[in-house]
Amino acid sequence: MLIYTGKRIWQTLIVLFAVSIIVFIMININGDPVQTLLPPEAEPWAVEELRETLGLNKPLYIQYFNFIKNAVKGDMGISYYQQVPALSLVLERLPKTMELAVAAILISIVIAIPAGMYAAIKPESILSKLIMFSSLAGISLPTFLSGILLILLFAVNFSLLPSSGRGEVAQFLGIHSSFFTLDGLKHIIMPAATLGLYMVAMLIRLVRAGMQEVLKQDYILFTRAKGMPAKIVYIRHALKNTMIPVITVIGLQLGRLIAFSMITEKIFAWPGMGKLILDSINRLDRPVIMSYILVIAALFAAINLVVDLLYYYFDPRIELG
Amino acid sequence: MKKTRLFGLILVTMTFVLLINFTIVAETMTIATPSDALTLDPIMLSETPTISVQMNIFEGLVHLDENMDIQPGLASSWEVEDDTTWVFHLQKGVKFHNGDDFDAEDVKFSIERAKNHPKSQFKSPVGQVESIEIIDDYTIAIKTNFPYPILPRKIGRILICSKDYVEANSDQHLQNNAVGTGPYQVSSWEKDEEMVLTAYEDYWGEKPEVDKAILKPISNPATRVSSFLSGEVDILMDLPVQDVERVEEAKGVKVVTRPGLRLIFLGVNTQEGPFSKLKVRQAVYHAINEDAIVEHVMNGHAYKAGQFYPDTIFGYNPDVKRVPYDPEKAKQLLAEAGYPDGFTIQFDSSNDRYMNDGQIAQAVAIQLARVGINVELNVQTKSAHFDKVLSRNTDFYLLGWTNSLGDGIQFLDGLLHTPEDSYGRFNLGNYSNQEVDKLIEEAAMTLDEEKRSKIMQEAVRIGIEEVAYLPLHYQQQLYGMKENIKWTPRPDKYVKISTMGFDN
Repeated sequence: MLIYTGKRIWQTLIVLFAVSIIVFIMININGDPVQTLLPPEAEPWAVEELRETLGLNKPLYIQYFNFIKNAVKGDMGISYYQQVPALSLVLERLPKTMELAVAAILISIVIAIPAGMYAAIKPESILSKLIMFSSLAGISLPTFLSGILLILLFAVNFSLLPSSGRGEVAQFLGIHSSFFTLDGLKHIIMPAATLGLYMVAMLIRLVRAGMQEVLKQDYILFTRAKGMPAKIVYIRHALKNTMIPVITVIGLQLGRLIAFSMITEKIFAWPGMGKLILDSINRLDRPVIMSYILVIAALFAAINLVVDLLYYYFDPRIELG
Repeated sequence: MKKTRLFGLILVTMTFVLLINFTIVAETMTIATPSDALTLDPIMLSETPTISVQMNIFEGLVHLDENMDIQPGLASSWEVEDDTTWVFHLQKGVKFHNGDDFDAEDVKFSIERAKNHPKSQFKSPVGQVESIEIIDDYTIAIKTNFPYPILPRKIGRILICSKDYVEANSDQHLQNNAVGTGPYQVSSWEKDEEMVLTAYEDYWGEKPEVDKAILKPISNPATRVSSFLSGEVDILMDLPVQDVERVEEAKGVKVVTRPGLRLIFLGVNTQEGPFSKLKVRQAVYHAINEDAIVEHVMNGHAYKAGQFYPDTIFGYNPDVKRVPYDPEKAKQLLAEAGYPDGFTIQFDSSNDRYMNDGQIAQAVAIQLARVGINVELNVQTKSAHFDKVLSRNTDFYLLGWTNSLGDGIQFLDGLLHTPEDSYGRFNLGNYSNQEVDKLIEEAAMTLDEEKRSKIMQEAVRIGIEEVAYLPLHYQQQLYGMKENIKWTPRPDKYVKISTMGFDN
């Protein structure tokens, strides 16, 4: 298992290297950062001087070589716009995005599992049909629309929840988070619900399908025949066996939620990584774009590795290789 | 007896009312901005949202008021000693937020830092400063390379930092920790979330009415409007055109508009192709129905432009009138120029740089088609558009221009002068007229304000007469404010909190 892990980390490094080349070439064809950085009335000599200071006057392969040389040491360059290391800019935003992603997952679990179970147990009831219909709507509704609708409803019409920002933050066990204050919770609920909406819808369908499958099994019939109360049958026996694929999906979705939170963050002015990368792409702030993509790539690789190792843990029959 | 008692009662009530009013005066202002400042080191980034925030924390030697006229700042007065020497008398008794005293050393240091720091983005404003001499603690002489009338406006761009503070700290520390002399200091800053500014107690100038300001960057326009309508913020910047009606109908809030500085114009290749003929350029200008563009494309939120900059800018010519819309005349001019059946031309425009730029380009294309000119639209994202246009690989393009210093010489230098040396950098259609060149060079070195204004007005008149460019309109700035707020926004979009107040 150790050898396997080592091999995977080595593969990850190769992937990161390849990603860095592709991204480097892509951001280089996408406009000139010096033109966007300086005001239009800047003299040509000022433009040239800045180009030189940023090292953008050198041929592309030398720029890339310099980048790699520093990147190996953990230095991804200084942001063109905020004179601080790009990597630290990205990393200081990471927990804020994580917080949002975790809240989104919690919300979706709390809603999706009972709803999915109900829809599986009583497929003919009106409520079940309603649940399935709204899950279909949830899958098809784009984030930018559902986010704005929530704001219109809860912030503008009912004045119940704040429309933007992260709110009051408190520290608990060394973690700064909106989770620990009432104001913070009020701020996180709408963005988390927006981000988690797709996942709620998907999990409902997953739980329902899994549940229906399991309910047909002989052992369920047997427990019922034995006279075990329905509640215990559903929760202790049926649900438990449905959870394996559900947990896998949740794990994989975590990466997706972190990487694609940008639209939600932009709508709710949530100061996370997604907002940073959108702004940086607009400004052509190359070191930040580079750092963000490499961090996300590494994160995805790490999550996949953990999921693969978990499979092995749950079912040792699976061969690693 | 009864009367006096009644009088007494009225007196007591009045005192109460007054007292209540006085206690309300300690006020917080929450402002929703489209984007956050990126750095608090004043030489590192020349970008409006960043400078806008810094203008509250720092001050320059001079500042521009809401009419873009020069007013004393940290310099109480200044005079021209000889053609190339300017003497600035500094304000006494000014303290930086960390308690340091302000004097001539700080001014010299700040200007030299802007000039010499490798990452400074303010090299251009001080590019013509040859040397700075400290005469005494509160007097400083600045020498320029040649007579340079625009120096006060340029030097006003340099915000003054404390020498001791900057020298004692790393560049990275200065990005997030500002020490200026301005009316406000930063009490907390969560990037992209909110910045809290509080009034500086020992501020040398007039005490501002707003004690505490919270700046909230909300980049999504729909969310920004929602947070305003739900009452979370007091002032909303950049109200989207399509939401104006909604805000106007809402209770307790108002829409405030102000002409901006940005001109949207069309540029043409004046040396080659059909546009090299004056009659064709005139024909095109006659063919454009700007009223329709303002009304239908801009929803009424723009101001028709008849010349290169608005009347708040130094060098505006009040006698130049806009060419009227006249498609018949346009057809006739085209025929006279040898194009009775029109011609085909590619038109370059961005679609994400200026307010409704893509739609403006479409409207122009349709209007020109009516007089027989077949326009092939090439609308792209801003970086691709600028790459193409700035390399002069275009015959017909749409662009915007802002005279941020409040002086028209920026446009004349950059767009009207024949491209050579540092002149005409944005003269992408290579317009060239020796007479105009001479006027511009003269204006650049004339210190007498009135004479200089006359020279610039003449250059504008010729430029418009020869249709060097086709000015379309000035954009309008739109703000939403709570009803009780008293504030006149500035044409340059800098949000100076010290100019805000409340109606009681």
